[in-house]
Amino acid sequence: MSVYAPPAEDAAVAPAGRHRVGRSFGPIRWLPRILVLLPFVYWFLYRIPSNEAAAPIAADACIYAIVGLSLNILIGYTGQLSLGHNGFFGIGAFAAAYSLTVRDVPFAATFVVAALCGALFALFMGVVALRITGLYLALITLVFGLTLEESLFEVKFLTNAGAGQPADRPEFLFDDRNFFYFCLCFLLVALYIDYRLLKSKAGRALLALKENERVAEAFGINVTAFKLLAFVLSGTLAGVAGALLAYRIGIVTASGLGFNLALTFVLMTVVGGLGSRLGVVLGASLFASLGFLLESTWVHSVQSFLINVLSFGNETAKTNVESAIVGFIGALGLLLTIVLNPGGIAQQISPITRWLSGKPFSLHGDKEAGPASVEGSSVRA
Amino acid sequence: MSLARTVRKRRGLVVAVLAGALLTSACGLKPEVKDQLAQGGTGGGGGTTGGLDSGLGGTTGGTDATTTGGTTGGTTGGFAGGSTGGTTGGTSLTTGGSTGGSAAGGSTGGSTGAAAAPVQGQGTTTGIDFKNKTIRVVLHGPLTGAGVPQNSFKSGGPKYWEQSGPGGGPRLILGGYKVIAEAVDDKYNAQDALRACNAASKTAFLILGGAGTDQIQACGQSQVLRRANVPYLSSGVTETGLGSLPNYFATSLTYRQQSPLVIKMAQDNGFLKKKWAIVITGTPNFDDARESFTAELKKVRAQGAVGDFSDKDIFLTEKAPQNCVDVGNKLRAGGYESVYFLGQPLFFGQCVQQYPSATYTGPGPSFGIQSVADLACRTGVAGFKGFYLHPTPDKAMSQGLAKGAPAFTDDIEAGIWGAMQSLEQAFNLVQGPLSRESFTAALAKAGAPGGVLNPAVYNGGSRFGGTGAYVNRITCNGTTGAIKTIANYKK
Amino acid sequence: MDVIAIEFVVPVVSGAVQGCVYGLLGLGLVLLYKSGRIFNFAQAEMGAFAAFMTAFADQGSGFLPDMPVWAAVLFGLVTGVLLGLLVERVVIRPLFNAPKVTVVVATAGVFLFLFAIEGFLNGPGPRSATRIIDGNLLQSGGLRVTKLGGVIVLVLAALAATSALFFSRTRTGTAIIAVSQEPTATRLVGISVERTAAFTWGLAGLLGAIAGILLSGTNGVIAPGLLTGLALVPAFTAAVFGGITALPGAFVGGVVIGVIESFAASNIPKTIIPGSGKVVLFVALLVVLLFRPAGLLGKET
Repeated sequence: MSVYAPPAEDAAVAPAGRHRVGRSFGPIRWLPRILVLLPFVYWFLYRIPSNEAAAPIAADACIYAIVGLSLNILIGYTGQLSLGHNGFFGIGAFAAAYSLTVRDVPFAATFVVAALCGALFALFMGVVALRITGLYLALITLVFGLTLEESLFEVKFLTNAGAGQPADRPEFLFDDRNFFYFCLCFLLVALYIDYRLLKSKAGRALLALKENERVAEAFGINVTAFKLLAFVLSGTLAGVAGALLAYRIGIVTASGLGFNLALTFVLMTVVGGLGSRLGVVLGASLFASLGFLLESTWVHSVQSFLINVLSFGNETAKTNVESAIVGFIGALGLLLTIVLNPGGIAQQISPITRWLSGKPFSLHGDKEAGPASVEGSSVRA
Repeated sequence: MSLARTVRKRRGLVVAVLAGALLTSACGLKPEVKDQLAQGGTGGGGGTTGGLDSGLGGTTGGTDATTTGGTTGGTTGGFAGGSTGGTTGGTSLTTGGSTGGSAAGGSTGGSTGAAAAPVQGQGTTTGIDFKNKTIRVVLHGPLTGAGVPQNSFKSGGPKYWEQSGPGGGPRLILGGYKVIAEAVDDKYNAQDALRACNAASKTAFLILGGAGTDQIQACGQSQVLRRANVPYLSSGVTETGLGSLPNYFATSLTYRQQSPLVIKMAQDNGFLKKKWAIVITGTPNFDDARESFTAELKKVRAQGAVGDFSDKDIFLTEKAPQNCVDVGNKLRAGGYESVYFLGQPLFFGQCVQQYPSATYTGPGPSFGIQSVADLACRTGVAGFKGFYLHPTPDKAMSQGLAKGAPAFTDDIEAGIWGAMQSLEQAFNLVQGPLSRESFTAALAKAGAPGGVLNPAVYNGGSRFGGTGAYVNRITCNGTTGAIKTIANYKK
Repeated sequence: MDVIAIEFVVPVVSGAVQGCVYGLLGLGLVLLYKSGRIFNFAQAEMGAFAAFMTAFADQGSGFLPDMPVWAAVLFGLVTGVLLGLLVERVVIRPLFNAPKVTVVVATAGVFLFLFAIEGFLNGPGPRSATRIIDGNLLQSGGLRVTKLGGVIVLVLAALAATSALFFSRTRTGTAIIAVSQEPTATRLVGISVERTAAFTWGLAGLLGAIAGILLSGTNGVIAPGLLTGLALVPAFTAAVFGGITALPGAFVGGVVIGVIESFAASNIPKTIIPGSGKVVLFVALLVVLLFRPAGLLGKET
């Protein structure tokens, strides 16, 4: 319905009233907000990474968040539903692992290789997307991802087939905590790119493309160029994220990059909230750490309780339930989010984010300023 | 519609609950994890400063204590003595040691004998809980993904440590320590296996590879495991890349070592002279298995014992093929009578379904034979028969259990039970206080006599220590598969 | 002759039978697309769920009494219909005005949910599936067609023909089409959009259940997620290939896709192109979508 309006502009054009009053109080308005943010910063930047078991999961969260941002460019901004992001992601992962392990490319350069490979394959899909749109595009990207998984990722001399292509981290990143900060840097860069993109003419062009390609073209937007740009940018980010994953785990195999991963990527982006940067990052982090949260935090006791309830005290049923409970909770949360709150996490936390960005607190907020145009027609059949 | 609307009205509540859950879950880590953290931190620190002192005290205390008790007593005493000596100023070290030794030695030492209890700060003792006297070991296996019963991977370990001790109770080792064996899912792919192993290296004393070649190889080669000196024990699979690792041990015959035995098995049971096909996963980790068996088959073919066999009779498959239609067609078209099969259990079930008339053999799906046989038999393939080399025979299954313990549900459970039996033997080999380093050194020097499994012998040499394998015959007994051990082949 | 038989006849015949399985699953996909522009990613798993129920009832395991095969199959079909209705009521109807991407993701969510529920009931391991009929129709050399395969071909042909007639001849059928094209106008005429959608999903559930039960029978075993991995993507491809708006298209598309996939998989060695079946699928889909987006039997719109 509404075209996405960057928050800053939104504030600027907002009708005066309470906003202006608030602004005159300056520090008093910002102090509580900073106080609320501080513990978050402390937990996420210091406490969690310094836990040996949680640091790798935090790195996963960063990697997934980059993929989420990459997917958001396509689905959220441009309105192209891609179900083949496991392909771009995997290309990046294998490219990095192969160039490092087999070709002895320096560590830093492997990220360039991964980004280039991701971009190249995304460019191909972009060209396809010029002709094939809507749900058909979703289908062809899905098959694309699966084909890569079963075909290219199984080519022995590139990927070592089922055995997997190893990718060892350099010494300074061996510590999981350092590696988390390393991934975090990449995430920040990705966020900055995303931020700049939306601020620029290109970003507005992408949003226009999503609303209506023909109208956009009539306004002089080069549809071909911007569509390709969106794909290439998305593929680049996914490729880099793939490279990070390769180093995070130390090995890449095709069977870890299948249909389920492609689904997970789309789900986390939608659950996070299409079009919302913060929402996507939160959604991705949640999906990356769901298993860990359910196994290693206090949530575990909630989970055990659930398991007992669901299995009616039957021992066999209990083991079955145990093995499927993480997926169950994930799927249930997903369905609840979509049916009750199609705007995802971003919509759910919008009162808080609005307050943090300097506006007065209101539970219902103004819907217009929420993650833009979730209700709009994102993908047409 | 109205339902959705009411919930939408309560959005505030939903927001609050979700936000609260997220926040608290992120912050409130389970106490266990926190404990492990604290232990890792302080334990590491103690290792460098206190370790030297207590080491000196330990030896003195140890010699004193051996007269009264065992080595266990010696080290416990030594540790106590060392720390006392250290605090007093280092000159009275010997005195501290001897008093400590005699004090603690007599009581704990006598009961356990040669093996030594772990000591905090001596070597890497991650995974040992000194307060609750537990040692945590992790077993990784395909709880999902390969289509085998996951319950057996989980229950095999506890069945040994919790139910197979005296009177059906827990088994305690090293002077009262209890082993907690936990199974984690590797999802039948190397990537998730390595992820699981690396995570386990932070919390477990050692890691066991349950099944799955690619997964075992990935974990075996893990840098993280090697640097943290995590002992890694697995059933014998591939030899590629695992030959010279300091922390790796194969507890049964590798696929390459099994190849001549498969030929012998075929000869003894009368299916060697048939027409052969090889159906094998196309991973590089099966190259050694495929090449060695092909070579063996060609060798006996040259002696005229096998009919036509060439490389066109080898069928490579994907890692997790979705069905066996194509391979089934080819087996049927070629009229093969004996099939050497190495691959995923679920795929195996599908192939038997497609082409039941051959005799299937090989290392087989090296785990989950029972469930696969049940599947094959229940779906009406009554004529199905197979011969496998497998470390876990039915005879040993019946021998292994203590009185009062429940029977095994399948070969996976029995196999893991057997692996735990060998693990206990390995724990008892350790000289001096238990640590990852002392465990590795002790096991590498000797081996484990086994019981359910054939002995594993390392003797300071190759880590592919398997010495033999049982021959198991599978037939259909109504709708369930019946496994019978008919021989024990030595390498 | 022998070489031709192995390299040509066998893959073509077994591929055609396999393709009918894809077509059967594709029918449900076409129905939902035709009636509501929805790609249902849960279609295969809905079928699998019904197949699980059939297997449970057939083997009398756990929570169900041991039933004869026909009763078990009937039970499975009923579960399939109920499941379709439930999905429509709980997930699809609240999303009536949501963008298509949300609906598609919601069906993926249904897939994951069913996957978990099957895990609860069965565990992640395989279970032997119920086969409604045993034995071979013909077997010579490498060639084998099971009786079940024959049943699948017949069922698919019958269903494709019936549903085509249903959409062109019956009142309900035309109502479904009308709702898909002009929901508001249809409502004005007095047709309940909700009831039509519920009917469609119930029907899709039934088609899914038939496909799931027959498909798991030919596959021999059933496990959570297995049917989705095995047949969902080829079924989509078959549906699009044949023309996603034309019901008999699923039949034609299924057979074509099945044959080329099986032909590629058996004749292109894995060492040269791994996963050649999928590559061919991708290329076929790409070509059709680029040059004839309406599919083989669909009408250009």
